[in-house]
Amino acid sequence: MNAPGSRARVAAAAAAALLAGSAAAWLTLPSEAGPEPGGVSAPLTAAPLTPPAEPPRRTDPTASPSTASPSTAPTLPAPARFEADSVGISMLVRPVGVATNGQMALPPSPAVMGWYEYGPRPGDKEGATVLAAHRDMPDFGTGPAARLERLRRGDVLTVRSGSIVRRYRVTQVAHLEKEGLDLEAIFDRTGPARLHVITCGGRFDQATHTYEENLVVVGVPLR
Amino acid sequence: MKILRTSAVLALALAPAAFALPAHAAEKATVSILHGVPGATVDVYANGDPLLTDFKPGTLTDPVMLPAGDYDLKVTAAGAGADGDAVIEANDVAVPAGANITVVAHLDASGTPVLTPFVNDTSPIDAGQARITVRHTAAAPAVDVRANGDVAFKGLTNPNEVKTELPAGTISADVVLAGTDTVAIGPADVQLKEGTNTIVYAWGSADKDNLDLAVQTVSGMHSAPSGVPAGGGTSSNDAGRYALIAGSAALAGGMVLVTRRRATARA
Repeated sequence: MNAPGSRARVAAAAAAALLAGSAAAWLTLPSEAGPEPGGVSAPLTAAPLTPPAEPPRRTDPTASPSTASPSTAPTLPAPARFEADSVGISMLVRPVGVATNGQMALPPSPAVMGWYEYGPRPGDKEGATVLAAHRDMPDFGTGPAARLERLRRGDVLTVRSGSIVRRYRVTQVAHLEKEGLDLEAIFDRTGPARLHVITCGGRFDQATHTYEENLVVVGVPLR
Repeated sequence: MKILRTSAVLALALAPAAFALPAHAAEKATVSILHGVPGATVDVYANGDPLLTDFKPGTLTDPVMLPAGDYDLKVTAAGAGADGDAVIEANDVAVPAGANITVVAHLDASGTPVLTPFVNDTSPIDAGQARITVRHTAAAPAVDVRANGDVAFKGLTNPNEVKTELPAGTISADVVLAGTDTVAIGPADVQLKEGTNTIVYAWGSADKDNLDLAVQTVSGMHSAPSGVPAGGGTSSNDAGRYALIAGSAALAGGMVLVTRRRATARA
């Protein structure tokens, strides 16, 4: 066994390894369509969020303005669990606020849903209760929120706060481009009571590791 | 006659335009009144009309909408009547259209009752943040305001204010004589609700040992977060990809080694 022959063999092996590795790397480059293979990307809808029509208000003749003031109203419990049975979602919910970059702070794990604690609570008479969860995250994989896009109008959403159960009927499943997104509408604290469940969707930008769209599911309270 | 009729028609034609002006709501101002003079129950008159009766120290009124303009304000002892002696009088107090104002009846630094109109900052607040305003309306020297033990505002004097924006939450606040650790008021827990302006008034008199705090909250200045970053891709795919790359490389390299070794053996 001479040394030069052995070196050549190792070099050839190394070259083959490099070639095969590069080929594998090239072949497995993630497609631009996003990391959920086989998922049919829903058509982009440019339609803005449409707040549901305001139900006729019943005026309570006994209610005086002072007792109706928000400062004296008892605080409703925070949401603790979110369920969408028709697409097999049941997730823990915990309160979240704002990250240092000014965006909504989400639980790191896609298994947990965040509730925007500065906005309306489930059961509040006005405004949008906002829930949001990561569709996927590095180190965690894809979460249940990726299935939100399969929801259809009329599906029922459930939000539990301890023993209190509130149900919502889906009125809109909107794919909205993040660029130019009307965030004031998504986080609206006025208008009819409604539920906004948000995750990401659309194209995944490999460079910035972000999705180009938000998926917003709008629900209205069911009696 | 003809000329008169023409002008009458003109006036009528102009009227709808005047009514259509969208500035209607802005022609009013939101006004709250705080009573910060210890020991005196009073009545308050605006332009000679009673505005508040039996107004007790430490009380803050709910905000009322008043037409913008200049007001002559007069504070009398309760029940003294519109012509009664003025405890405090302030003429031509400007109430600008669209403004949110708190008029404070309080003691000046030397203990004389005065009226000070403060304009409340209702500009938008970043999501997750809260505004805090501190107003010195007490017969007391310059003070420092501390938040959670650290000096937040230095050398505040009567009748001035300082303000800042902080992450929403509860802070423990106290007021010390400027440059000292001598606590004049507090500590008190102050809840800073997101998107609101919490206004803290120091009022009363240091000499009479009745310094106190009054708190007003102006809400509705919240903003939406700047986005919902609800996905970051997956590294599980990446991990699989790297395993495949390493695997293929090892396999190819191994195959080359084995074929070469066989060839060598045959030779």
